[in-house]
Amino acid sequence: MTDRRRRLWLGLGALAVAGGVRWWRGQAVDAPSGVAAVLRDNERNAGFARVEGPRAFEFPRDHAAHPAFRHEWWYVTGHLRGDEAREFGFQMTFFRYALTPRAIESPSRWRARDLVLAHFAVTDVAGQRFHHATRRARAALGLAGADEAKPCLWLKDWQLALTDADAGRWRFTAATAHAALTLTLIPTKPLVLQGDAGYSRKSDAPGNASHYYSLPRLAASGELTLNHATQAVTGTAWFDREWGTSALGDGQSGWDWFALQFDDGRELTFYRLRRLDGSPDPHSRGLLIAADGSAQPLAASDVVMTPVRWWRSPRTRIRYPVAWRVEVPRAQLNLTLQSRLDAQEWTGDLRYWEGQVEVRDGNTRLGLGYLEMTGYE
Amino acid sequence: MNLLLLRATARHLIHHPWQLGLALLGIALGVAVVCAVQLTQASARQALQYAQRSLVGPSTHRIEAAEGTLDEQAFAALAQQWPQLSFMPGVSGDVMLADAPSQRLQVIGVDPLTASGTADARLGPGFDLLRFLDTPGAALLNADTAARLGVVHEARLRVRGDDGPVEVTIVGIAPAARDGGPADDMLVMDIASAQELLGMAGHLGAIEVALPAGLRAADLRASLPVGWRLVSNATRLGAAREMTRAFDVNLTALSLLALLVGMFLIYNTSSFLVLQRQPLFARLRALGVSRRELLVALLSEAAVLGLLGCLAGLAIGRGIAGLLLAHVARTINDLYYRAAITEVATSPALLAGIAGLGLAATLAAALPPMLAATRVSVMRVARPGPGIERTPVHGALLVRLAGAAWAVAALLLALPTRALVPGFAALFACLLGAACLVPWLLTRSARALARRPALAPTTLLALRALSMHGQRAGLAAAALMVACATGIAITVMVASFRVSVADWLSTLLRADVYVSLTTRAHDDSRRLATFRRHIDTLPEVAATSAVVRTTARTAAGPISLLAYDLPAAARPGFRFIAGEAAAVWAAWDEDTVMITEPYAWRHGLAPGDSVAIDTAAGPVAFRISAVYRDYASERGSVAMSHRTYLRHFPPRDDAGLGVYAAPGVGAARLEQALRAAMGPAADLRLQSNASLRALSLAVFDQTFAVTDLLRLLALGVAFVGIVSALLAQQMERLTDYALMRALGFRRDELLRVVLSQTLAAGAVAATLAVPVGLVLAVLLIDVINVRSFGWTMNMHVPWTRVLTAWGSAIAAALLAAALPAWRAVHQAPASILRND
Amino acid sequence: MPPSPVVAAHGLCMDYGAGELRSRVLHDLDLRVAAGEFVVILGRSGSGKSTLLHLLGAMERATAGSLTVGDTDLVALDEEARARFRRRSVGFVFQAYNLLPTLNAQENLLLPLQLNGIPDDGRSARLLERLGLQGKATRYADELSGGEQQRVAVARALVHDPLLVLADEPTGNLDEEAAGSVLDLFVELVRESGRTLIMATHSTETCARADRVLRLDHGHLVDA
Repeated sequence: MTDRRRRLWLGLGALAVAGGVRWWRGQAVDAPSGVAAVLRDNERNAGFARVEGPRAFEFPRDHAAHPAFRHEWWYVTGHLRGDEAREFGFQMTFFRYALTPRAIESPSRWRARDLVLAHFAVTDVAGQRFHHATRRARAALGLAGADEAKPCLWLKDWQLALTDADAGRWRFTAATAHAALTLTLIPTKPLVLQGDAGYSRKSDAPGNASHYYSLPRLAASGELTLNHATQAVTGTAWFDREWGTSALGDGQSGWDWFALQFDDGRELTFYRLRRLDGSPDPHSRGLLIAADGSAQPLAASDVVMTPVRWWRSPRTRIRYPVAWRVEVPRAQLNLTLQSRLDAQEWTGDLRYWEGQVEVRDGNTRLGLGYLEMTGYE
Repeated sequence: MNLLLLRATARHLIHHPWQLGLALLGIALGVAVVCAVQLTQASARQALQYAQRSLVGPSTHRIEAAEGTLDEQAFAALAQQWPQLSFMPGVSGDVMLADAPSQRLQVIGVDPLTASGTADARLGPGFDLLRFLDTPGAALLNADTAARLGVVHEARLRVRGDDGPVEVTIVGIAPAARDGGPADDMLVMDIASAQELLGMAGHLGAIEVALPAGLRAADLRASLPVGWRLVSNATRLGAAREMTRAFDVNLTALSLLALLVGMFLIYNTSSFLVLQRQPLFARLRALGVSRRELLVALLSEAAVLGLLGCLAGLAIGRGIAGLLLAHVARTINDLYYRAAITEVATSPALLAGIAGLGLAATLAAALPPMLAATRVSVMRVARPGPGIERTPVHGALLVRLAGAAWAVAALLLALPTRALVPGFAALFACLLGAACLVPWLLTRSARALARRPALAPTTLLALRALSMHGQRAGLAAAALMVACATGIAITVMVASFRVSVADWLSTLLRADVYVSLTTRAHDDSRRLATFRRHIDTLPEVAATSAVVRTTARTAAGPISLLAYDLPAAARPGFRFIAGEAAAVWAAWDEDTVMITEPYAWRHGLAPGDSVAIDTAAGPVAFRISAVYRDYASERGSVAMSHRTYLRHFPPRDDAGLGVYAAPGVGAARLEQALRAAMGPAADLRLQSNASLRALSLAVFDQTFAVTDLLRLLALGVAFVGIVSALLAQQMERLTDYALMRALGFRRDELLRVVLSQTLAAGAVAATLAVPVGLVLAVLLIDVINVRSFGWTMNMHVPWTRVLTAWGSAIAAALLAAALPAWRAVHQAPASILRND
Repeated sequence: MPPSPVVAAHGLCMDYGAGELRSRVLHDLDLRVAAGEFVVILGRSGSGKSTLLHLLGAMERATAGSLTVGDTDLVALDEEARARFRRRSVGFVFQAYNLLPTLNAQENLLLPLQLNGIPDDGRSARLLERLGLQGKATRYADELSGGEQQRVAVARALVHDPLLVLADEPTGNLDEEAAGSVLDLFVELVRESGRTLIMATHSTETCARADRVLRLDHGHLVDA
């Protein structure tokens, strides 16, 4: 899962204002002006720390922000069950993007060090509704921030914070105009380090890497308010953390990423980078995590993904493969991923598809997952 | 419609290109002036919209401070309190180019992170958000401004704020204002960069917000801190338009005047064209063409002419609008609101409307002569040749018309209204009445003069031409009179205004040096008050006055409130229109107020009445002790003593100080002492009495530059009218002139015949224009100005300029006759008489 | 030695137009008219009658040849000198548009006198009376019949005792009866005053009264 969120972040940055530009395509094909191009420019990142090898993670300190690095994200997806076993999916993401590695010297409080962006979505499976909202602000005037000392992110009243470090308990709250969600998250499986002990290399160039780890399964419980009606919800969540400074690799048109939680206690995560010619990039990686928490790395050649059904967005006219066949011969897995709601598309500044999927083997339901797809037209 | 008939009538026009050209020019010029003024006004309105348009997203309301700026910490609290609302905070201020101080740029600081998708169009498709955010001094400007300033992407621009020159980096060129980009002359910066540049750290200028459908404005309003207000965009635009309404009406009236003069011209030309073709019409009628068919053919012809003229007029008008725009922009920026008006807004609907007006005017003016044409006797066929038809003036009818017009004017003036439109209608009626008299007066006096015995043949011929063919010359003279009288009226009004303002300034400005804050005033909220205490001890200073300027609330809306701390020397500076000076000053500290003349006019108040102003303890009624003359604000203000102010309102820093020199101390020495007292901060502006006065009058003169331009345009239209009328007359009388030459008239004699007619017409027009102009000036001063602005003024007639206007009208008439006269004289004498 | 002629033309040519469009209207024309002579010039429309009259009346300048009227060499005169010559020495009667519409009959008649600074010793009134226009002195052109207008024109042509009277189809626009009476009066007055009259016409009746009849044919003058 190397580039995807950095890329996502870059897109958000660029499109926060210059929306409507085909960013996905632009950065890969056109070598465009704008943020993506700027970030290829290493000069631009001068002064920021670089990820050049494994790191001795230290928790809870490393759950908090690392402002010496250019970018960083906290990424939670999950599956909830409410009244009358009604099912929901959710996504809560905080991005931090540093504007400068230097200390701020300005009389203006608006001269901030970081930008903060947040994406929040709730998928109402029974109601077939996708509630989503975006916020962005600079970390200034106390209206938004990514705390360096303690794991706490906020953007006005949206918040994600480690409230009990000993128990590893996280809490988040966010709302759109129609959906509000407050959740407590407690890990039920140990944290897994991606790549080489959390050192995730993006290319052969030194420094082109990130620190990356995941909490593959957390127990979630809280309250969901939909259209002014509140219900208690419980379920599981997946939590990704990554930070770094590195520049982009070239030649990729997009990616398909998923994180699946099987009912039998296993998890499978994989991202397939698509190159411009349509072939999978050899940097594609994944993990198969056993019920006991042990993780088995997956290389590009270990997983075969084949689209089986396409959906065309009525708003953007973009076609997304919303059902997939996923084969992992090494693990004797032959899965079908089926979107639980086709319309889980982000149509704001950024256009991508991220939503809850059901995992099946034939007619047998094996579990639930989140699928993210970018770079489609 | 019978096309052959149309061709038969139109061929004549094609064979007389001069006539055709002048007819077109007449229509075109009339339309052009109206078009120019309308376009200019539309441009101003559009610029206002551009200036008020949110750069970062659709907003429905704006949060502003009643006075000064908004505290950004309070904004943060508000944003937390209303997390679901998208607030778009901003700061604004002015800077000038370091290398071209006359070029001012408006700095707008926005938070692009609050931007919605619609911001793309505003800030440009290639907009580099990160550079904008992480580069201090990064700025955008729109493509038009960039082109005008010769600035390219990545250019560095040196601007001067209060702290001296600073470099800004142009990180993007946004679309032009018409394409949805920022307004002209606007530097768009990140809010952090703007705060740094303007020295406004901690302060916000305004906050835009888009209220969702479910949220009531009142709920948000209730949660605003004290001194903040929520204004809907519709209200803001409406308020700005309301401000310039009087100005707009004045300009429109001037432009309609030009159209009126243009209509004279059209009437004149079409009646000539009809007259010339009488034999043709008679022949057509003899051939059985019905009146209706003939009228339709002629009206179609007029419509085609009108359409062509209108199109030309629109093109010319657009050009003139470019000229007007600079003047109007300056006036609006000086007097009303901040908006960079640099581009002529061309709306198809507006242009179509003006073209329609021009066409209607053409048809209306052309209809009477055309109706006359259809009544031409078939017997006219028998008498060939043009030029022997008399065109007498229906004196009695004209006199009756004039009387009726004046009666209407009197009636309109007697209406118990303060509306501007009836005032202008009365003005027009008055002018039209006088215009009706011109042909009558001209023929009457020519006839009377022609009766004198032993006249030279040239004189006799000229006078006879005027009395027997007076219609054409009379119309030209009427148009000239209208233009000249209007010119005189405006000259007298402006001069009266200027003299009154100058007089007011010299009375009011009694201190030797005036002190005000420069825009960098955020460090010390009591800067002027402190400075005042300091300089009061200087030996060079005899006394100081101070004024606090603020906005207060009343039930009728916000008012401008002035609180004066006046030494005895300052008191004679107030000139009272109502109320006794002694009584005013006796009760000065006892909860009384003085109000300015516009305020009294607008609210119908007089001494003895009271003004209820909201204070922290609720509304308090202040008794009005006097109404005083003040040309500073057309909306008016309320003045009270500083002590009264402090009893009811929170203390504020002074807005300005007046410093009186000790006996024997010159202004220069006083200024030097004050400069020394100010210290190195140099955050105060010192202005001598003379320079402040000069500056105020310069602003005044700028404001009226536009009326000068319009006055010249009206005169230009009249000039073309005279050329056209005289040329028409000459064409009609070509045979006469040839005969005169055959009889042995020398060229100079013939020239005398032609020019003396013109001179007579010009002299009558110009001479009548003087009294008419003076009457109009009285109307402008006592009706229009009072109704527009609430200002009274003393009439002051600048006789030299009135005489100049008189002379130039006559000169214009003579100049206009040059071409027709030349043609008359250089015609071969035999050309008309050849029978071979 | 015959008395010196009032009109002496030799080799007179008149061209109109220029370049390709140049056309010769009068060809190498010789003409002598003695004082007191009444010469009629006959010719069809377009034969050049009016042009000849315009040259004789100094309205236009000949293209070539010499032309003397009285003592004046017309070829040498510039535009303004020709105007002075016309006012002093020529009386015109045209086919139409003879009167200035802004002057009444009497004023039209007085115009040559005033232009020449000759006091009106009552001759204008006498002339009007002779022409049967008593009571119509203050009428304007549009208030007079065609015959009356032409009579005023005749009076105006004679009132200042010009050296040469020129008439171009003076009765062309009148009916036969009016034409006859105007012509009678005209010739009678000219004879009485001993003026020289050159008239362009095609009326044979007029020819009968003339001293000499010349025919103008395509710009060539031939004796009739």
